[in-house]
Amino acid sequence: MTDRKTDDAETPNEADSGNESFRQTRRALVLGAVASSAIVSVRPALAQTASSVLTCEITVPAKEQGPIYVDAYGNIVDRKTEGATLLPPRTFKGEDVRRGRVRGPRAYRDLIRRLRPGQSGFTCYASIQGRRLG
Amino acid sequence: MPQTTHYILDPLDNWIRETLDEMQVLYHRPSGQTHVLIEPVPQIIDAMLQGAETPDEVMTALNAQYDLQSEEDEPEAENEDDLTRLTARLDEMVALGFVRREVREQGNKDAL
Amino acid sequence: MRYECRIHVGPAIFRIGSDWAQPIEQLEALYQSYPDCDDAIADFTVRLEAQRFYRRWFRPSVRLSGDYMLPDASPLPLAQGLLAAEMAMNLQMALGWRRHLLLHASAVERDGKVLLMTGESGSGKSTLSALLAEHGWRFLGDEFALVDLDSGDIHGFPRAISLKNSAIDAARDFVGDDARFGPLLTDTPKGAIRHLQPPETAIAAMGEAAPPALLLYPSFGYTRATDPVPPTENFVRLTQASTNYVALGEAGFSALVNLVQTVPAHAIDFETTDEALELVEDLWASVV
Repeated sequence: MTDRKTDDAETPNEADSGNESFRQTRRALVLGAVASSAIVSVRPALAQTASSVLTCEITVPAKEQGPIYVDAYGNIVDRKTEGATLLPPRTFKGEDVRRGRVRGPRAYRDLIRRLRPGQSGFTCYASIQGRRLG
Repeated sequence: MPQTTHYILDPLDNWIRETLDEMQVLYHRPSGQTHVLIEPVPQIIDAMLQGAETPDEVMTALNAQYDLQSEEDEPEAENEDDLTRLTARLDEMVALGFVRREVREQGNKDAL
Repeated sequence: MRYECRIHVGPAIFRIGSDWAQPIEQLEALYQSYPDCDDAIADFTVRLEAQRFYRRWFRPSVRLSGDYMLPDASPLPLAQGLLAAEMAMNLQMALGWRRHLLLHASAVERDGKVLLMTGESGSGKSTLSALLAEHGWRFLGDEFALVDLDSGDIHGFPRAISLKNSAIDAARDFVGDDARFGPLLTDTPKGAIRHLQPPETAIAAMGEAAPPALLLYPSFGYTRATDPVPPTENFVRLTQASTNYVALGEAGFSALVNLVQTVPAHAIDFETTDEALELVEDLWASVV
């Protein structure tokens, strides 16, 4: 048995600081949709020397999200809305997303935030967020 | 005879689990794979370590400790019940190889 | 091979053979202060060969080969032979090294503790390590940091620093000694490249490992900011910054878990080298 969870709980870290309140009020637990996924598997990094391998990318609309229509202000609207135009897919670097540097219509930011487990781009998004996305 | 599906964790010396923050990482020795476990998977594994094997048993264990909630903004999942969602998580673990599924005849235990 | 040299960087020894004298002479100049290892057994062999026998003289073009190769490595003109040799040495480490967990990271040491900096090409991790090396830090490497699988200590890989494009001029501002720069290579696949010899003291101490105390994700060219990187995010990003994490299996997992559990990580944005130095000193003061 090498499950070291119990040992680690004794060392103070950020995750443990909330434990007191968990004891008083029952903690919420989200089971997640059937189609989602709550496990991200680590894939081998490609061996590269020309550039580093820290380049995960997110393309929105993800194929599961599209097609997406936007109005003149870049907001997501129904396809039947007058003046609605099709939002072309755009690829963002994970690092830029993480630092809030998503340029262009706000629809892109909204779509990235809406990525769900199991959709393309989510693994990158989850890894740069470092937490469950809700 | 009615059947129940049991979910059995891999033997404990087949994997290592470490808590990093609200997420955990799991190294599975037979496959050599590393998995990042996001809520509710760590909590499900805890319940299984306490002896829960069927979705019903896991659900009972989780309900005893947590307020099960739905995520907002999941319109496609509106009609799914908690047990179906929990089973989806268990099947995810089966797919990655550190949990195995076993269908048993109900009452079989008593017969033996 | 007609021309040959051996280079000892950190724990690794490379044997480099070439059809031409020029890349070998340039390497020997750049690595002149490194320990002599002519009789040692090499970990890796790298060959810089003519694409065809006549291409040794006619539009000479360097084809790389070695113990570990990627199938699509394209030949480089002879003038870029130094870059070819450096790329090949990196490739041997990335694909072949198994004694440590290898991270794409630069590293410097002070007070007996190591500062790691990781990030993609152009993030400034290489330049930042060169800058810190001129400000009282011991340079451990600008490309690879080697994590000891038992102790978690960081072993250096202080090969010549590879400066790209605008970093070349920036480094000339903070490195006084012109003799430490290699030849300027222009129009390479990575743009302009110039190598910089690490300080001699860093080379002399390259065998000394030290425990890590801080990990930074630098981003050059953005408004000054710092942002903590939580452990799981750090873990996932480092698996992607390592070329041998999967190959090492459980040993790699344990080493990486230990690293992210014990070493705080922060993303830092900066626009000038002064800002970078200040941010590093502030964060360093908070952990040492």
